[in-house]
Amino acid sequence: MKMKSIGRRNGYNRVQRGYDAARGLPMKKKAIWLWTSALLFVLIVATSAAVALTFSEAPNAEAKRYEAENASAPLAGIVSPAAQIAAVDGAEPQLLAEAQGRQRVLRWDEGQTVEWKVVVSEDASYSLSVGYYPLDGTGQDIEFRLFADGSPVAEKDTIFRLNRIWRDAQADLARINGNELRSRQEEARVWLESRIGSADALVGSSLQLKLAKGEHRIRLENLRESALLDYLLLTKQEAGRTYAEYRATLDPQATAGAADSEAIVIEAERAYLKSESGLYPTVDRSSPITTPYHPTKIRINTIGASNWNVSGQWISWKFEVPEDGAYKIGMRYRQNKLKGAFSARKMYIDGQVPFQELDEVRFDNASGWKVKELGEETGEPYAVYLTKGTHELKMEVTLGAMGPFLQEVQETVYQLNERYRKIIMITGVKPDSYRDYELDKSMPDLVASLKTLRDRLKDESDRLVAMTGRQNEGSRALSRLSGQLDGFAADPDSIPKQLGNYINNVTALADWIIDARYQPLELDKLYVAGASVKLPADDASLVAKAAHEIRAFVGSFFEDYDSLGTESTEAGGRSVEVWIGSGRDQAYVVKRLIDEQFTPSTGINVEVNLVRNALVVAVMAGKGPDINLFTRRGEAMDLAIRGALSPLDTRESFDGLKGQYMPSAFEPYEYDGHTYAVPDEQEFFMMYYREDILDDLGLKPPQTWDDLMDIAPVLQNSNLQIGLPYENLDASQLKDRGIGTLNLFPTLLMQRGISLYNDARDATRLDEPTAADAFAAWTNFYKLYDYPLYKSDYYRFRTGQMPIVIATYRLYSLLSVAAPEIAGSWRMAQIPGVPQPDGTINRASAATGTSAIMLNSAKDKDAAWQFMQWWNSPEVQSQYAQELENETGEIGRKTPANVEAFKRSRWSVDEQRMLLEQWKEVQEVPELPGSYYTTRSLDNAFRGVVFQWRSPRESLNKWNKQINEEIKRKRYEFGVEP
Amino acid sequence: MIRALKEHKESYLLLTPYMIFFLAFTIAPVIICIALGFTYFSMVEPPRFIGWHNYVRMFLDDDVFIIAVKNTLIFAFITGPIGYVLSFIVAWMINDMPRTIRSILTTIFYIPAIAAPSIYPMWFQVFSPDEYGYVNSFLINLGFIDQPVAWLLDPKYMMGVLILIQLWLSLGISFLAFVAGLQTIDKSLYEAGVMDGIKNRFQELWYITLPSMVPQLVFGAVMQIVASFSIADVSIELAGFPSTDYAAETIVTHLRDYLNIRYELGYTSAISVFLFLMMVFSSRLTTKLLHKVGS
Repeated sequence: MKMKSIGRRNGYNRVQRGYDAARGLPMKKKAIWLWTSALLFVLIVATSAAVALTFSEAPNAEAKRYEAENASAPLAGIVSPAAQIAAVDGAEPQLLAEAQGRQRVLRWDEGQTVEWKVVVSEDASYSLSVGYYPLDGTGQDIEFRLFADGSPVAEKDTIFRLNRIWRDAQADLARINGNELRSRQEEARVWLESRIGSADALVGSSLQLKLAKGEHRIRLENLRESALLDYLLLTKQEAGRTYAEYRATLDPQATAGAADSEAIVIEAERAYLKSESGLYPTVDRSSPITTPYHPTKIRINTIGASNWNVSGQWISWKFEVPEDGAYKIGMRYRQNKLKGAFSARKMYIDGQVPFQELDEVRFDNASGWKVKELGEETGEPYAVYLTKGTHELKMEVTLGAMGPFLQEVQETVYQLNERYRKIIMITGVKPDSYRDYELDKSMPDLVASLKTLRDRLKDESDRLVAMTGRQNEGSRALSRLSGQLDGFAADPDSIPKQLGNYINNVTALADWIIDARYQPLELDKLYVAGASVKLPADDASLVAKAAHEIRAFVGSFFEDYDSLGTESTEAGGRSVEVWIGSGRDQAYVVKRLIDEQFTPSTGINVEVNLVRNALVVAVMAGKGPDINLFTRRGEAMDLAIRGALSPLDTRESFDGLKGQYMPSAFEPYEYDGHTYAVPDEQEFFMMYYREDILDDLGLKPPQTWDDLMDIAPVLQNSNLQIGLPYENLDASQLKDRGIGTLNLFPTLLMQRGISLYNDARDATRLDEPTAADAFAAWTNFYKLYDYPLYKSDYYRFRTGQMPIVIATYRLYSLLSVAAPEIAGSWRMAQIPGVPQPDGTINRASAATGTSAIMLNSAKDKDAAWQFMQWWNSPEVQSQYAQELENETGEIGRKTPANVEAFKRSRWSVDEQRMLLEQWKEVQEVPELPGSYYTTRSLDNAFRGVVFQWRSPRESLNKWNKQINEEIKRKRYEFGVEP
Repeated sequence: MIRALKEHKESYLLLTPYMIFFLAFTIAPVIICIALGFTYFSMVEPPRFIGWHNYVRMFLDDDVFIIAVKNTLIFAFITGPIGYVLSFIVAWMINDMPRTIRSILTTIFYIPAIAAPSIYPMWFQVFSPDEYGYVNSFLINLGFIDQPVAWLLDPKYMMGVLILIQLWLSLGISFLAFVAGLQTIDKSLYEAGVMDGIKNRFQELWYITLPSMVPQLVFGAVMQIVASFSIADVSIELAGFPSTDYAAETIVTHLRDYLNIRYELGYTSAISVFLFLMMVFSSRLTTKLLHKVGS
């Protein structure tokens, strides 16, 4: 003890000494330090300020804007003009003598079937192109089915598309607060020729049709949008010439010119045409030599950053060549998203791929900007012969050699998943590690099939490395699985223990395929230059970059990046304040639509603010907006019952607007005889099932809940599950969302013909025997049949562990984008229902959604209502949905509640039909004072049954009493009831 | 009085900025809250005086409130003292370590208290009701259970789990106060103690360490009491809001329910007045007890 205390004393002294030493620094030295650091600091501030202040923006280079031109007439192939059309809808075709500058063309309307008579002179594989002119419509592509000699050319439901083409509407970009606004995309109205793409984007970019010599009939069934048809073109697949052959055809004299003429620089963001409206120009702020450049303000200066990545999408540019000669082509690009792999493009010059090396130009992965010359990997850039005048360069996304490879890996993943499913049918997803399952005995072919798969994986891994030239995520995932299967084959008893790990590896591989399918590439500039011209460096010098960073940093003190760019209201002008209760992406799109359309046409200024989770409080404090978009229904009701909302049903033309929606849509926003909101989305349940798995087990998709109960034991025997919706949220979310899609109970209740509340809306109907019946049915799913409460629908559906899932339609987009390996083996259908005495099935589904509301405090209510009418019109709603999808991708798809707008949305015709069928049966749960209490009390009743084994009827009654008490109390509070 | 003011006018001047804020944002709200407790107030209409009605309703007509009081007291009596003692023991243990290690350990022990909001999802994973949740998976593998248990949804287990997590979070501000307090003790006292016949570390602790840091102990205790009476986040984040059967409802979650969901401000104020009185009372009691330390 004593020793310790001494030790501590010593330590104490040491500290003391150190402290003295620090203080013992001579005063002079200290002063020098002080002054030096002060000086340095001042110097740094001064240079930063100097650097920041010396910036002046370079004026934008004048760029010529090219008008869109008709596609040139086909040079080769078998052309069948419209005159050769045998029949339209089985009748004689009525050709137009002249339309849009071409003679003898056919108008092909939505729903019409066109049959072409084609004579083929030799047996071969042909690709099909159509010469067409898209007519005004909703801006969606033309969708059709394709039959050759009466039989479908691909799987029966495959839909083919003819795209519209787009371009920037303005050449000079508008600016708000000095930031450039992206141009609206407008359709280019010209005659087009498009090759019909293949059904599966992985196989290749164009459909191949095998035709024998003789006469054939090619039928096109239009599903959506109308067009003028000029001709059908069949071209034989021919091996293109190589660069060496191409080079040899050129006259050395002709190519000699222009060797050292100045490089023609094309700003990539100023594209001539593009295949989709989503291919809009983008912004890069990382490099000072990306032009146009500004360190802090937004300058639209690149293209393709976020969404030029799906096979078949193309962008084209036009440029002027000063004299005949051989030119090399280069580009400044960035490809930093596809790690360890390349992104490929097919290059067309004036509509033709000049030699086969340009079929697949690879852009390797690198962290920053790079300058590439086509053909530089061969040691000498390709020389392309161009005559004096205007030329067009087109770059199309292609998977190239990667396509067939990915398709193969996808097939492998499917098989790996199938193995997994077969194994869990025996072991369950959580195998008992103390049990010996003897898998090799119950599945005699197991070891052999594992070995085959192992070799296949090994081979694929090697090929991928050979193709990309290095190890990457995909090759590692492949070899990891191959190694694991090797272990499984050697010791089948180890399979149950490593099952979880195995399926994780399979998922990792499947996820890699999703990433690899996308071929992102961002372009800043294109160069066309003489062979001896040196192209600029990849990126700015270190000094220039430092200056860029300093300017951006200094600028960040003065720039409000959060501002949505509100223009100041002119004195005396009318204005509306709009709040958006959603994300930033949404707010930007809304703002853009307002600036482009609403304000110019009405003269009403709109101030847009992004405000979330503060609406009710703000309104109560008297600081609310005039209009709130994407209001959650609980919020809308909170405000409506407190008299803060302006009734909309009294406004003129409200009934016309209401007619564009499903009859159920307005119900949650009705209170006390008035309607207080216009719904903008209605989300409801659909059923998803894995056709392949149900077929394997000899099952049919369930039509009724009884069917589902019949199927359940079979699935359970195979350790497979059924996924029913159940969400566990906190009280404010429960209130905001309403009860509709949280769980299945409201749906089950309404399928039995009664709703949650009585007609007077002052009490529940849960005391009725039917309700008790529905409640028992609901709890039984979990209590008796052990359906999982918490699960990831997407993940388990994808692995096949959960072949039947009921979830809202949002799952559809997720599955179609992010689960390509099961594409074609699953379906979306209506949810199961309750059979009615007359033989029909009641498939009612509850729903949820958001709405637009107008506050009572709005100063200019007429202007506000004008805005509401504009915003909820089919045109604007569908445009909003499309533009939003351009920003967020298909996963972020918004489905407008306005049915007219829905029909113009990106959902294909088939998908629309399915959704509409279910949508018609949707019933909404009304919101009323105190209804937030229903949700939580029902949840309590449910948990009482499922976790504590209470009797369903007792549990429901107990909580039902509380719900009614709360409703009564709230009704008294709001003076509805004395 | 006025002369005293004049005499110390510089001190009062220095005090003014703080006092203004203290009065405006602490004292005034408390007074307003007490006043609102006697009214019906829904934010839209002006408050209406209703006498003791809110308090009558609280104790006689609100079953959930009684559950909330019960749970709050359970939290306060279990996590409060255990957390307090734990904080002290840990602080005391790391006190003798070299400075660098002590700083590192202090940070490590304090991290849960600051990182708590971002770590709740992790706990949710651990106690997930799914068969893939860590605890469930572990127990299923060992064969203790064959069905996943909904730890945070089943009222049987809810409170136990929450108390466990709250204890993990409890090395908070009082822990820091103790670490600092232990540093301020005059080292010479220990030497004097050895001379006076202190035999072991526990005697040293009781007769020297603790009495020398009564201010920190009192501060720690008050903070701990306030913290354990106002436990809410852990319940909301993990057991849900509201929890199944309100089994993990505390006074503060109940209060938030009436404030944010039902917008009944009068009743909310009454609840918070009750909570305030409970805190004041127990702080007084604890302070009294702490002054007996070492005697």
